[in-house]
Formats: sequence, structure tokens, C-alpha cells
Amino acid sequence: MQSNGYVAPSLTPNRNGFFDTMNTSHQQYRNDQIEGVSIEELTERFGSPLFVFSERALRAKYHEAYTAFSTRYPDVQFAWSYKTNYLKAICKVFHEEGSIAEVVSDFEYEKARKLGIPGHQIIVNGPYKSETFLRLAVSENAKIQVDNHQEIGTIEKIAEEIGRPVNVAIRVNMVTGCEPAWTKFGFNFESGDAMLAVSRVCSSEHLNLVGLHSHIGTFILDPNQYRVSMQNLCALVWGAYTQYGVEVEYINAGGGFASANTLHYQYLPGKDVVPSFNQYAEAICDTLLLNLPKEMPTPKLYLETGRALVDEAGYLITSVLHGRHSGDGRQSLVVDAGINLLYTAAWYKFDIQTTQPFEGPVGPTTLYGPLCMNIDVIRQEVYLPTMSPGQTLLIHPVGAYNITQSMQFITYRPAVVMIGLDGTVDIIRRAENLEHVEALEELPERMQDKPVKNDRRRNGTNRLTSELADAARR
Amino acid sequence: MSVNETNESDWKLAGEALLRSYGIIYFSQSSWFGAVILLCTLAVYPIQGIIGMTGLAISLLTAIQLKLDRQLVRSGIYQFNTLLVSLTLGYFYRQGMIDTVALLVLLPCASLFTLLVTVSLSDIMYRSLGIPAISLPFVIAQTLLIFIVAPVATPASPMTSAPVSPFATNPNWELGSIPVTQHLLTILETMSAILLMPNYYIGAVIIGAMFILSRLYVFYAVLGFAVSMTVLTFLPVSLSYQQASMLAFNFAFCSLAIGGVFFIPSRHSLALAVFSTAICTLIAVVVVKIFESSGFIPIALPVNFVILLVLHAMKMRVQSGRLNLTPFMPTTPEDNFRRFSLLKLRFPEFGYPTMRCPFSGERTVTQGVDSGVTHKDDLKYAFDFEVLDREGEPRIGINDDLSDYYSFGTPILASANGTVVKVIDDVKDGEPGSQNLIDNWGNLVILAMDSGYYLMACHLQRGSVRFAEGNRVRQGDVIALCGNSGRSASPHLHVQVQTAPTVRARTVQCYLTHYYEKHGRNLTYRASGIPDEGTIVSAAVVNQHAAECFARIRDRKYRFRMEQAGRISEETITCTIDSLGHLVFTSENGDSMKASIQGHVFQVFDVRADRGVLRWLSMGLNTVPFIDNEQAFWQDKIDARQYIYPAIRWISDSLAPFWKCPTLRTTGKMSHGIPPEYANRSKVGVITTILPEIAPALLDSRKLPATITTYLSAKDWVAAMVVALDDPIVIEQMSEPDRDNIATLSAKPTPQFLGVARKRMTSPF
Repeated sequence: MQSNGYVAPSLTPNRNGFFDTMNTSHQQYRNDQIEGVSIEELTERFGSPLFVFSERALRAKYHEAYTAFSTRYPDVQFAWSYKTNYLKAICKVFHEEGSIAEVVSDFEYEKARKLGIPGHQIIVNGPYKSETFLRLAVSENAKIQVDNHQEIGTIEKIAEEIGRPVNVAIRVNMVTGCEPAWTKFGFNFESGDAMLAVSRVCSSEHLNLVGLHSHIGTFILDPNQYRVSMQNLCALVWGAYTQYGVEVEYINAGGGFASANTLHYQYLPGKDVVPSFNQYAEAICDTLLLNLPKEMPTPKLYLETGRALVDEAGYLITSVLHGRHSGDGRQSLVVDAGINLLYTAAWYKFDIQTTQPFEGPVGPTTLYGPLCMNIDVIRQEVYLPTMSPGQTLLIHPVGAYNITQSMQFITYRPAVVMIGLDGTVDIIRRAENLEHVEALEELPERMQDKPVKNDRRRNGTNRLTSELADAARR
Repeated sequence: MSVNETNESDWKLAGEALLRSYGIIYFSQSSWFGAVILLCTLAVYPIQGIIGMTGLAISLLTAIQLKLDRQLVRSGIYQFNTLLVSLTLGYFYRQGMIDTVALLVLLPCASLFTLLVTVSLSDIMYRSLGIPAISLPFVIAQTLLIFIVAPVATPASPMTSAPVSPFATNPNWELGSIPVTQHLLTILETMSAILLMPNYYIGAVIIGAMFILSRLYVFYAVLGFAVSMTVLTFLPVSLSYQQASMLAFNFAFCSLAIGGVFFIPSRHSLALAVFSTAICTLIAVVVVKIFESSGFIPIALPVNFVILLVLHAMKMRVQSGRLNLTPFMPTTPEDNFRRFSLLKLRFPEFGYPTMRCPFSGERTVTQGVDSGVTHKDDLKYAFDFEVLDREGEPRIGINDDLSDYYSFGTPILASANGTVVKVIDDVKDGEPGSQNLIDNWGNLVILAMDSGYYLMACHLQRGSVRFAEGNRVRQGDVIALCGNSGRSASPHLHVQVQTAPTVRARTVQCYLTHYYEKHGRNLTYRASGIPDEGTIVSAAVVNQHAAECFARIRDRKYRFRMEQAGRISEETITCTIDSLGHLVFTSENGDSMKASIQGHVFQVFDVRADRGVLRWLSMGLNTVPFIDNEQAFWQDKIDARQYIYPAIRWISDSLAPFWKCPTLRTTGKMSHGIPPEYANRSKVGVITTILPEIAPALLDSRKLPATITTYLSAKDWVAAMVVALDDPIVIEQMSEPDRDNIATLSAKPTPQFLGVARKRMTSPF
């Protein structure tokens, strides 16, 4: 066993018989493998830091979510939220499992189309959709969910030009008890703006109302908030049905389900607090089945889940660069993954696990990233043993948003690998290098180095070097 | 207008009924065969034939005037007894037993009397015994007539014009002592003997016509004759050859009726026919011996008696098995067999209660029909449904909490429209692994389905039943949540269909409809079926767009344009709706097909189309479920007869009932990829792939398409169809303003509220 170097002397009070209320000892749990593949092997092959995804976990989570909803509602379709993680391999896994795509920009739309998803299997959200993008989406029969009145106007104009009515859905925002309430997107329900939008679309000869959408927030820990949103959407369904005879084809409950991450102010660990898919499903499906008009055929239920499906399938392996102890026993470790890779460190306290056996007790530790910025802190306080450079730590869950929101700042961004169902490890995003980072950069001509002319009269040194060069050749 | 009040003229009805009345004596519905028989009656003995026709006409016109059921009149069932009685009178007149005046008196009386007896007796026998009257009215009327006319026909002068043979009075003739040619002549004669005109030539023509109509007819007739002759030679008390040949038609017809008409022809019906003919022979001997001293023998009695006896006894069976009564109006045995085989293969649920999935999502059948520990004996027709994950586990993780089980708390739906008749709601949900043997059904709901059966769902969650006794539910309503009450180790749904609304009633076989079965990555759609234990079943959702494409079909004309290799033709298909609610499509070239739309699927049956558009429509739209899942495929069968080489078609027709019906297997899939030329009329397509199921060498593969792609239109049924042959066929519907109907249905229902009708609203900003 390799010695860890200096181990600070410490006294551990005998706590037998007392409950571990401060949860200080749970970090002694360590993990040296992901899905049976050893972390040492992964870092040897692919370097450190390294994002690792488990295909098995992705598929199992999807299956769990799909089972929870499909056994409670007759017609359910998941739409993979690209902004959560738009790596091709991750998206492909979900599409293979039966998911369609949900995008919020023209970039994501193009990405989905390039992956082979046809237009009619892409849900298009977003507070801003340019006219060019809308034209493309309309021409490919994408499921457009409109956000504001100007957008309705633009689509009507396009529809008039192409000479056929366009199917659209309406995004609604509302008060559900979620803090902060998302009022930025869509039409507000309580003020009547949503019903106004419904009326506008239903009575337009260029538009058909086919769906209603609400995405109430993110990381919702109380499933009953979805009851409120579904009830409100059903009220709009009734409105459209009784006043215009329009039978809405789908209800989009959006996303926002929580993953097993722990928020900064949360006392209990995430996996003990987060509601199960069954609870979300019961809230959403039960409300819909009770409140939808019976005369209408049951609309399809779309779900734009992102975080809840991918977060727990993603790990980050990071190595300790150096560490120091302060006078009061607090350890500070600098690891090679910083907030440029872990944007969500601003919201969550990740699980940090050691990967090798260790000696000595655990103590309060601050984890810093390698960037030359004081705000680069992964975790303010976590209980870890004394660690020496080269040892690795496993950060989990990091699957959602960290890769899409990572920045190439100060360092290259690392590779991303995926462990397949049979245990083989494949790279799904290569580590960056200088060529990749500079690929889009252009140097103006005036700043470029000129090629040196072989003019012996101008520069004596030149003549000398050229003579030496000639001599060397002979 | 009901079926009985049509615009059809009485004379047209009379004409059709006339021809059919002749044919139906030989159990045939064919008009041309009837015409042949009619000509036969007029050919050799024209006077007798005319008398027969006159009597028939009298009764026919009376039947129409009296407003008897037109369909029964048209089929000839009400008339053929009269025809036989009139022919009898004609025979008496020909033999000089009555004079003209007596004839003029007797003919109308006898004909009307027979009509009345036929109508009454048919009704009585159908109602009380469920069997037809066949020619019993003729036996009765003939017997009465004999008493009036005074039987001159003694056993010594039989009703035949054949020369008296040396074997006339010898009761114990050996089978081998009569040459085969004599037997053959007797067969010919016997075919015309039923018309009271025993004559070799008439018989020959009739047998020839029968052979063209159906080879199996002739086979059964000859078989019956052979069986009876064999039996007769070995009886201690037997008939003379003369008597035997007089009664021979009984045996032929008995074998024909049992083997090919009233039962679907098969090896089993063949065996039954042989035995029935043997019995008929014995009965004939008895009848002759009883009546021969009285001077008159009711010669049609044995066949009637035996057929009715066998029919009635066979109706008492609990299950049909391999011997099936013909459930529709029989035509020729080959046709009956093919039609029945296809119906049985494609619609196994006919006659049984059906139910839709009482759940949404995927479940595994953990205990099926007649299996496991609890689905046995009276309770064997039941299903256990449980949600299992990919590893086959019923719960998440390793804790044994009820809420960790996938099935626990999931909604249970009503499988059919009905009324709740029993609710038990207060049994505690047991811990996983425990079995409550006292309230072993746990919490339950019994639903009286509108179809007359009762559906029971058990092991529900305590307090979760949403309806009370007496409430009406619709199919798809959530009635309760799945729980773990009663004899249930892990939460599951137990569902069964039973005959009574009590808790422990006898279960009956029922079919699950409109669902998918998952095998690995493959998703198979089933319109109806009984899932085996271990199958992963998921409920199919009725897709509105696909349903609309068929829901708009109504009684109107559809015009199609068919193009193949540069040749263009047009065809008009007329759609009507029959009294059972089935769609009947008839083409102007004589083709026809029927289709039924249940809530979830469009299925074609009874296809008689070999020339035009209907041939391809019936293949491409053989079964179309109303789903939108493009991954699921369904399987179906089509009659392969048209694709067998014509030269061997007759042989295969005759052999098929004793072996297997030649079919083609089809696989269907929905498709959303519509080519641009049809994109503005159609949003959904159906791709049907055709594969042969019998030896491909027998099939003319040039005529067999590989795939047929149909593009459906939400307003107009079929927008276009492409048949993939060597010379592809493209069929397009020609749309035209529909002048026959007042309102042209639009895709969107019109808004109703306060005239806020389709006015364009501008943005308020």
C-alpha cells in the first residue's frame, strides 16, 4: 500500500452509541470503479479529468421514467431535452429508446436534424426564434411551441405565404408555488393572456392549435406543483374545446423533475429527498385523466425531461494536483477540474467519493479547481481524508448541464467517454487541443509575420547564417 | 328504408327467386345452375316441367303479394318445396293418374298449401330446434297428395322408367353381381329422380352442371351412393336393387348435405357424412319395410330425418372443435371451406366476449389461461398482469416496500362500456409476499359489460375504487388503482370475464383486443388474441387520424383510376351498409368485398374480387388498425386461390378442405413517409407486404405483388395505392364534388359559440 505521505495527528472521539447526525462519516464510502470499469484504467487510457457516462444507467433511468408514466396515462412520449446534454452519443441513446427531440434554438435543431431526427419529431421551444428558423421549422413540420404574440404573428405571415395552415402549440406560464416563478416564457395563465392566445390561434385561419405546453420550473421537489399546472392546462383545453370546437392533440408537461443532487441549502442528501418518477407521474397523469373532457379523444402527453434522466448517469473523475493544510486542520485540495467544467457547482453539493483506500480520519476539506480565479471552488466543505497529489476523486452526479454549459477557459476541456452495456469504453467527445481551440480564430493580415527575404545587403546576420547553412550542406 | 322495402320491382325478385328455387333443390345458390335445372325439367318431359314451373310461379307470386320476407323468397328456400310438389303433380299427370281438370284444381291448392306449410314449419323448426325444415314440407305435401290421388304406384311398379332388371325382386344381391356401368347409370338416374323425372340424360346434364359448379358436390354424391350400396349388400334384411335405386338420391343427398353443405367440409365432416349415410341407409330400409304394404313410400323421408337428426344433435355440442356447422348461407363446399377458414383464422374472437386492455403501458402476463396455481378449472380463463422491468423484477431496488413495486398504484381502466355491479373496497393491502386467503379476491370491481358478460378486476388498492355500484362507466375510464389485497404475493392485476355477477362465478374464454405484444425489439400488433403467459402486452391507443380515414366512409360512390404499364382504366365502387352494419363495396364489374369497422380496426372479409381495383384494395387494406406507431407490425391472411395456376386451381380447391386452406401471409405497417405527390391529400400510409404460405411453386408469382402501399386520406378513405408488381399499378381516387350528400364534411368541426366563427384576430400588441 502506497504511503499517503504525511498524515496529520488527530483525535477521534469515541462516538459509539451516538447517532451520526452531522453525517460526517458518510464520505468514507469510496468507489474505485464505475459500472465495473476501474477508475485507474480509465484515467490511464483517457487522462484526467474525465467525464464518464454509463449507458446502462441512461437506459435504466429512461425505462424507469417511461414505465412510471406509461402505466398511468394511455399515450406518453418523452422528448429528450437537448440543452441538458447534446452530445451525439447521449442523444442517440435516448432516441434509440424511443424518445423524440426537444430543442430551444436553431443550433440544437440543426444538431438534431444532423443526427437523423425528422422535423416532425422535434419539439421547438424558446423565447426567441428567428424568422429564418421558423420558416425552416414550418417547412419540416416541426412541433413549434409559441412563446409570445409576435411569434404568432410571424408564423401567421409564413403560413399565409406558403398557403397552408400551420400546427402550433402554446406555452403557458403560471403560479404553481414554485420559487422563483418563471414568468419569462410563454403566455401567463392567471392574467388571461394564455386564453387570449388560445383564442387567437383557434380563430386564425392560418394556424391550428394542436398542443398546450407548460414548463413550470427546474428541480421541482414537490410533485403537487404539477397538479396545478396540469389543471390549468386542462382549463385551456376545455376553453378551446367548448368555444372553438378544437380538440387539442397533445399536452406537454415540460420537464423540471429533480435528480439526486443536493442543493446548497438542503440539509438532507438529494437521494433521500427527491420524489420518485411514480410520484411525478401520479401527479401529472391523475390530474389529466380527471380533468380532461371525456368527449374528446385523450391527447398525447409529452414530457421534456432532461436532468432527471441524465444527471445520475454522468461522473467526473478528477485528480488531486496539490493540497495544503491550514492551521486549524482544514485541508484545501486543488484538483484538475474547475468550475469551467462544473457550472452546476453553483447550485449543488456534489457527491465526492474517494477512489482508493486511505489511512487516517476524514476532515473538513475545501475543493478548489485549477483555474486562476478565486471563485473557482467545487465544494466549500466536504469531509475527505488527507489526500496526496495524483490520487483521484469521483464527482457525481454531473451528467446534466455541466458539459453543455462548460467553458473552454484557461485549460482545455477534457474528454468524455461512455461505458457501453457490455463494458466497452468509447470516447464520445475527444479532449480539446490547441488546434481545436484556435480553429475558428483568424489573425488579421496586418498582424501576421512576414516571410523573411533572403537579402544579404539588408542584414549582416542573415548573410552569416546563410553562409553557415551553405557550409553545412557541403 | 329497411331491407324489405326496397325499390326493387316484384318482377325482378320473382325472376331471381324462380331460378334459385330450381338450384336450391341441390343445395346450390347459383342462378346459372338453377337455370340449367329449369331447362332440364323442360327438356325431356316438357309438360311435367311446365306444370312444375306453373305451381312454382303461383306460390312465388303469392309469397310476394303476401309480403313474406323478401330475402327468404329470393333465395328460393320458401319455394323449392312447392316446386317439388308441383313436379309430383306433373308426374302424376304424365303417368295418367289425374286428368286435366283435377290438375287445374290440385295445382294451385297444393302449391299454396305447400307454401304455407313451408313458411310455418320453417319458423317452428328454427325457433324450437334451431334447424331448417329442408324438404319436410315436400314429404308432408306429397304424402297428402298421394292419399288424394290414390296410390297406384305399388312396390311392384316403381316410379322409374328404367326397364325392370333381372335383379328386380331379388333382395339379396351381391355387390359384385351388379356391373359398375349399372351403378353409374343408377347414379345418373338418381340425380334426376329428385325432380320426379328419372332419366339418364337429364341426370347426366345435372351431374355435368354439378361438376362444373363444385367437384366436391359430385364427390360427396358418389360417395354417398357407394357407402349406401356397400351397407345394403351386407344387411340381413335389405332392399331390392330397384328399391335401392329409387331411394338412391336419399343417400347421395345425405352425404352431400352433411359432408359439404351444412358442415364445413373437412376430414371430420367426411367421416360424419359416411356414418350419416350409413344410418340413412338403415332408416331407408326401415321406412321401406314399414310403408311398402301401404302402397306408398315417402321416399324423401330418410334423408330429411337423418339430416335434421344430425344437425340438431351437433348443435348440442359445447365446443365445435374440428367439426363446424356452416355459420352462413352455404354456397359450394369449396367456397364454404375457404370462407370459413379465413374467418376462423382472422376473426377467432367471433362469438366470444372481448375486452380492451384494462391498463395503459406495458405489462407482463405472469399467469395466463389455464396455468399456474390459481387459474384452473372453472377459473381458468383469467389473466394476471404485472409491470416488470427489463430484468424481470417487479420492483425497484431491494427494499420490500409496496410503493417500490412498479404495479402498485397504477390505474386500472374499464375494458368495455358497462355498469358497475359490485364493489368491494375495504380489504387491507397485504405486505409483499403475504397471502390473504380469507378475502382471497381482495378489493374488486365487477363490471356488467354491455355485451352481456361480466368483467371482474381484483387485488385492487384499498379505498381506490372510484365508482359505486350502479354507476355507468365507459371504456378507458379509471375505475381503481392496482393494489396488493387478497391472495396476492406481489401487486398485480387479476382480471377475468365471467357469466354471472357473483364473485366466484365460472369464467369464460375472452379475447383481448387492440394491443401490442413485445418480443425482443419487435412490436407485434394484434387486433385480437389471447396472450400467453410470459408475453409482454401493452395497450394500443386508437389514433384519431387513422380512425378518421375510415370513419368517413359512407354509402356513396368512389371513383378510382387505375394505371398499369400505360393502360389507364376507371372504375366506380359503390359502398353500401348492410343490416349488420358492415360496409359492402361493390364494383361495376361485379367484384365485391365487405369490411367491418370496429372501434379500433378496419378489416376486410368475404372478398370476391379478381379483376379490378377491389382486388388490390382488399389486399392492401386487409387489416388496418388505427394506430400511429410505425415500429409495430401486424400479420394477417389472404386467400391464395387467385394466385394458384388456373390449371391446378380445381385440384387445389377440391383437396384443400382435407388438407389446408391455401393462404398468403401479409405483414402490415403504418408509415408516415408520404411521397410529395400525395402529401397534400394524405398524412398516413399503410404498407402491406405479401408472402406466400403454401409451396411457392404452385403460385403464379408474376401476379403476386411484393408490397402494396396505400395512402389514406382523412376525408376520402383511400387517396392512392401503389402495387409493386413487375409492372407497377398505381390506383388513385378521383375526387369530385359529392352531389349525393348535402353536407361535405370538413376536417375541423365548425365552432359553435356565439358566432366567434373563424374571424381572424389580430395581435392586441
